[in-house]
Amino acid sequence: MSAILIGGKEALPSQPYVPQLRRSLVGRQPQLEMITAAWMAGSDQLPLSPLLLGEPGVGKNHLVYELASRTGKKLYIFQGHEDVTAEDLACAVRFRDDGQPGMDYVASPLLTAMESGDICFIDEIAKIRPRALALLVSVLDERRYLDSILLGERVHAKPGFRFIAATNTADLEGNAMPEFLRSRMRPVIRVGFPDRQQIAEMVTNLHPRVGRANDLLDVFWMEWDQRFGTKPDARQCSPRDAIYIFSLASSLADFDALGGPSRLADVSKTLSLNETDQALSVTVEHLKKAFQEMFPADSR
Amino acid sequence: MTIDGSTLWAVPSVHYRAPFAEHVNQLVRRRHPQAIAVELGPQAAAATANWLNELKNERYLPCMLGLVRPNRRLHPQVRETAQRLQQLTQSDLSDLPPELLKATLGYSSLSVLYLSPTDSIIEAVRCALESDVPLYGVDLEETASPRRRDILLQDPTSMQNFSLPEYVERNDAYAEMQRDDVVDARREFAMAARLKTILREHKQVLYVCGLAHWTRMCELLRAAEPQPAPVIEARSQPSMLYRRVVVHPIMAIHHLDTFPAFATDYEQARVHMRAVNEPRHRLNLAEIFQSLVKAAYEDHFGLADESDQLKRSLGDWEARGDFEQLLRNLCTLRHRSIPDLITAMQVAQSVMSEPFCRVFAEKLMTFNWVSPNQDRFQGLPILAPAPSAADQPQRAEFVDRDGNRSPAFFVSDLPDGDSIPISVPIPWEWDSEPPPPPGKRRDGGSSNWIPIDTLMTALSFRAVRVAREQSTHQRVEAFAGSLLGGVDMKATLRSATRGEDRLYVRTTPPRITAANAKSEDVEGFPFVWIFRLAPQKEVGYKLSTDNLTTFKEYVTPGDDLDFDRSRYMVSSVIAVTGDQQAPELSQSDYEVIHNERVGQLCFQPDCSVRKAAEWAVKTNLESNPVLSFANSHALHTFYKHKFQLDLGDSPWHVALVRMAIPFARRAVTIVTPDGYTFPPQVYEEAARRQVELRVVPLSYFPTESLRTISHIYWLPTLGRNKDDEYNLPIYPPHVLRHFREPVDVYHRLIPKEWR
Repeated sequence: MSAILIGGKEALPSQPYVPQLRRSLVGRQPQLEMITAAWMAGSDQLPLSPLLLGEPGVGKNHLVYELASRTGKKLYIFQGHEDVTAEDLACAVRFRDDGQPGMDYVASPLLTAMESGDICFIDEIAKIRPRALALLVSVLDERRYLDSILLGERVHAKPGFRFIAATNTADLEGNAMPEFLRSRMRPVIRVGFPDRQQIAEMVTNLHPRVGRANDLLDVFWMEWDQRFGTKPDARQCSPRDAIYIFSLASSLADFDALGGPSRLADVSKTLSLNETDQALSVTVEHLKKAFQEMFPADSR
Repeated sequence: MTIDGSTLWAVPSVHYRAPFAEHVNQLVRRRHPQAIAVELGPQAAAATANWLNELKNERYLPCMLGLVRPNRRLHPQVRETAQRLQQLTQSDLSDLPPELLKATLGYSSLSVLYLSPTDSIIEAVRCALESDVPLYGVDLEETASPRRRDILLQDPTSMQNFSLPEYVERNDAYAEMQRDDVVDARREFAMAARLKTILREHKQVLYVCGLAHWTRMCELLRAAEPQPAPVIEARSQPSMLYRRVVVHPIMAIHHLDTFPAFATDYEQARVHMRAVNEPRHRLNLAEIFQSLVKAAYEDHFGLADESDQLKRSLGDWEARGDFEQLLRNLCTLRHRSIPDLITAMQVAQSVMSEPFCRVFAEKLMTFNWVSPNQDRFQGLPILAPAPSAADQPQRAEFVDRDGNRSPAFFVSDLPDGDSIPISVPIPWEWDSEPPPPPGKRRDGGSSNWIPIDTLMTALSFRAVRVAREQSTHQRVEAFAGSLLGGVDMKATLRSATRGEDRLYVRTTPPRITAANAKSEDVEGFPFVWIFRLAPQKEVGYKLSTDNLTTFKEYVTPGDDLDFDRSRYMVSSVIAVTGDQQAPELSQSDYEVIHNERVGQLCFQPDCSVRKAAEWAVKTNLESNPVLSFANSHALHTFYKHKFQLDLGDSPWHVALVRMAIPFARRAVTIVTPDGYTFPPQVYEEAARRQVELRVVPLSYFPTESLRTISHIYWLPTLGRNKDDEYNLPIYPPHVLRHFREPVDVYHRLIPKEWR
């Protein structure tokens, strides 16, 4: 981890996140186009800073990972929460860990991305308090700089720097993101629920064993409709919901392949927690059990 | 192309794009073909020709009309899946739900032929009728819906001067990738065979087909096979298979070039076949689009009222650059020279305010739409979008003039659900709601759309927390295991002087989130919202009250309040501007009134009758005005007699705060437009009663949310949901369809104790 120089001061950079994309992006072409269009910049135009808006689990982060992968840029993620302060967004300090007295500056993901000309993604931005977010204003408008009080420096973004943030719909409704920031986070891109065919494609990409047993998807939708109904305003299935249920169903199948509860009772043998080579097919029973675990019948 | 001594002029086209239709029009006027053949089945061509013939005296083609036929074929690729499905369900395919057939087999039960004025095939039919030359439908009548690949083709309007040969040369190879080898090969074979017959009978023939077929058609027309096959002129054909419908604009927009306003210009510039010497005005799509954007700007910014923070005109003015930049960039990515309706609206909705989007959509949607209210189309069913869940493909339904709706079904050529949804105005009044069940119309009153009030309560709770955090008051509490913000020496010493042996600590202000709004936040009530400083003469008060007798069933007999007398507890005073009709929500027997809420005083959070009763008991009816009559005159009298307060002395926004002060226990929370200040008299009154005025600026809240809560609709209800613990109103179906959100959508944002 080599330090970056900011106004003659050394700061440790944040670590980029390298997404391990286990499944390719299904659909979302319009959203990808919109973000790409927002990020296009040139001599006479600055990039815009999109805000992704959608329900939890619909795949907002996956969109950002996909874009980082396609643009070949490093991705620095800042996780928003209620206790973030303005200085957390810029720079922090820590005791040196080489035994020497003194402190190290630690550049935030935002500062690191600005310095290296990469992508900064603030997840759950609406959870951050407005007074902390005020620091972002100069980063997101034509000034494109950030003032760090701790460093005592002004950091100008490199031309390649791109910014994106995401928030859950409920957070934005309940928490007031102030207008001075909203007006700088354009476009607002809504990420809705994918349709059932797309969810099926995601599940089969991620769980090939499910793909081979195609009927499981029909059973999945029957179970879903039974629990949540089919009216237009019924709870919709997010990719996360479907993937978790099928992951659990696959694990239950593996568990059965290992010997199931009787093996668990046999304390003389070590239990392996890895997917077994002798994996059984995922059955309707595994799926129903996974469903019951994730969404007990009275959970609607 | 010359075949057996006859000349074939072909117009391989991209469907619904005006340059191709324009080319057909020019070609017929210049070359005078002896026959016209189109890529339609014989019956489809006949049905189209017969209907357009009936409309031949119209200056413009009424739009959008459609011809529908049932789909009876499955694609051969899904044969095995269909068999497996029947085995699995033990049912015939015809008995299975359409959603399942769509998901597993890609099957839609209906095909629609849109009579779009900008489509080259429809233009060819119009030309044939106007110039009275034979018309032939050479395609197969019924085929399975092919599964087409999504291929990006060059935007024809990107060419400086549209040249068909040049366009075809550049794009036919790409368009061919969209072909379905099974279905399209059969169709092309049939079209070539029939075209050969027509070319034997006529020396000069115009043929209009999709660009994807053209390369293969050339090969087949030059080859010995297929042999010529019989073909009958369209107007001599029966057209029993097809049914006439009016297409709802929301479905029609996908079948008009670029945006509906451009189709209007196309129609105005179109030259009738008999007007031989009339020069055609060349359409410039870029100019048309720019003029529409300019007109939208003028309408939106021309009426801007700087004092109205909710309209966000200033924000839109600043955002214009981003809007235009994003529009340009997105067009580049989508290989379009001019944005289409979907692109333009997607960008507008993601950058500009909702009022601007409304104005802009109106400009783009300018078109002489066929309305089901017009006499000559009244008997026709409307092909309309049906309510669909977001995770399901868009479905359609038929609606007849009495409002009866068919079961929902799928049609073959609606865009998939992956697109970013756009919102455009429906150009004609939708007056075909099914009548409500007799006798169940209302429950004796009306209710605002509950989510609006719930959102307002949620934002009020949030404002209370914000205001409290901003409050200068130091909060100190007894040490109970956590040092919190550190020891408060002053409070600790003070307690020691009282003989107490305990520590006092400073509390850190609680973090503000939607989830942690708590019932104790009610200490910030009464709460005053001031959205806009509307002129005094435009504003009136409406009261939200509960008759105390209705509380009786919710309180325990031991509660010694007098609930027997018919008196009214005021829970809020709403300042509204004049009544306006809301035609989109009104019915023939019920008129919905809409008010702009410019301000509101809430004595307690908006809640159910049960919660209001609990509040009344808890506060001993001392936190709300209690009136003998539920009207604003009684309210004025109440304040005059009880507090010597003449509400007529102050502007309405000051009066709301003055009404709040006598009922505050600790503070009044007020949300005001930025920069607003109260007269000193208000602060004096507050100080006299030891009440703190906590002010939060409007800009602290998202403008969209503020705009939402500044509306009141006096909606009809069908009663209250007794099974629901919140006792929410039951709205008629047309109301639910209009608002498109669950009634309890914002419930999670308010403390459980107040839901």
